[in-house]
Amino acid sequence: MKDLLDLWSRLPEQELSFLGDAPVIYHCHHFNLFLDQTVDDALGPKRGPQVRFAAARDASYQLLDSLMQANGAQTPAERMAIAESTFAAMGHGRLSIGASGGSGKAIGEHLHYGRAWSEKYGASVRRRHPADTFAAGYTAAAAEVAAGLPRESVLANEDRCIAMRAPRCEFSLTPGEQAELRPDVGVQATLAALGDLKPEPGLHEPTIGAITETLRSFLAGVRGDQHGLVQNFGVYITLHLASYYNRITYDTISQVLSTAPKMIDVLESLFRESGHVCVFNTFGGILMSPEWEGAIGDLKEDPEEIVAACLGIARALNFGRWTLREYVPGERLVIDTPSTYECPYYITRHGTSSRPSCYFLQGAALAIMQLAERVKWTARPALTQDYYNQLFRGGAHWKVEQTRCRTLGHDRCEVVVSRP
Amino acid sequence: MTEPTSLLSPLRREHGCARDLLWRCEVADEAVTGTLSLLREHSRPQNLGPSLGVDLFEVAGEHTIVLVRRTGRIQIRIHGLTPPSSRAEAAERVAAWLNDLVGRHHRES
Repeated sequence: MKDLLDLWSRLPEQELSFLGDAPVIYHCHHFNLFLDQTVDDALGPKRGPQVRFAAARDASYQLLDSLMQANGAQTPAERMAIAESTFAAMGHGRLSIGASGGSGKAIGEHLHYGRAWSEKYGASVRRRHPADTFAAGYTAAAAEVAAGLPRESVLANEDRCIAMRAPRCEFSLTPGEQAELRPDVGVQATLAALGDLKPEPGLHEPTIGAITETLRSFLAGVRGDQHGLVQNFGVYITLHLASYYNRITYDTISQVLSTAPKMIDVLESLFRESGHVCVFNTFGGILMSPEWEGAIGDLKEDPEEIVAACLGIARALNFGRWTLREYVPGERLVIDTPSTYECPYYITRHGTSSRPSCYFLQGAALAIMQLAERVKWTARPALTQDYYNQLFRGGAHWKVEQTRCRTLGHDRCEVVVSRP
Repeated sequence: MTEPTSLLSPLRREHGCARDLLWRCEVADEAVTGTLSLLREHSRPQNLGPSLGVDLFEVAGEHTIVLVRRTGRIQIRIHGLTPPSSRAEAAERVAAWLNDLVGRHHRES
């Protein structure tokens, strides 16, 4: 099997990356759990997991199909081996899938969502439904790709889950009816959606670019360990499928708009909060890591430096070419980007929008302003839940507005953070 | 906590994304180069370019020691599958091993 690096491609002007044909980004378990929970809170405990399963199977099929082609894998056994090793390499844990004709069983060890949920909440909360819907969807897609079955025709159910205190996760696979197929959001679709816009350099561009390259060199060689876990910068992260995040987000938005439109503002604010969760935990963790200290330097009490650092981190995690357009200390932050990882998906599958659609960018920009303006980095604060609550739930210090969006037909996405 | 040699500061917790996985101590400036050599000799260096100023080593199975050359900061990363109740003890063991390694080398040289 080819190494992941050989299957990796990047659109450098957009700072978007692909594994095979699938757009990929890095996210930590705090973000992953928060986003899944937001979907389930909005759609309920039955419909939420259905939406997440469909998204996982859809996005995973695109990844695996392209990886099989790139590897020239022919036999079901070869294909399944690639599917299992890729899952582990991406930091999602270990899967062992035994399926034939769309029927079978799979065993999961140390699966990302279940393990992370247990670690974060397991001591105090009893979970009543399985956590590894992403792994279920991936397993179903692997069974389809391995056996050459119709796309989105295999169902997978997580029967036992470590988040429900089972010793390991177990899945059953059954043939099902083929779901409605949607267009893939791969390299070509992304290029078609974005056109040939050239990025315009922003403030601190050399610094941001250098940080991105340094962080990328740490990320480039990283693979899941023997348990399928990836730790980098002291944070457990996953290489994840952008189309999974995007589909669960926009399908949830669509369903809530059609069934409970009065709830849309609350839902959008929760999707924005996923950006707070990511920036606080992952960006914060990276900023205080020894890798940062050794390769980039000591943190100072300079808000503008923190803003630039965060944009470098965002690019290294493949979130897009986030560019600093304006920063007024204590007053205003303007970030723009030729695209987010959200836009190509939305444009390809939904067309134009009537509202700005980059929820993650919106929330992340506000959180970057919080980290820059309100955190005393030289005091090395512990990034605890209490501190998060203090920063993000203790009254509005900032508001964010998305003033341009590719999904609205603009030439870029732009967010403005200012005083409320 | 493990008694440090004069070259290593006491071990203490660092906040991380999960409980008790990250621990910290510092090695004295004059011992950074020697500690780096000892870790290269007695543990498994992980692949990183030499120009990045930070070195990672796998120790005691699956735990990691990270050393920042410029500042002497050491981070001990306990593997995420270590049960929460055993993490502090695991960090202590890694720190004790390093402490012994550095101390012995210092006495002999």
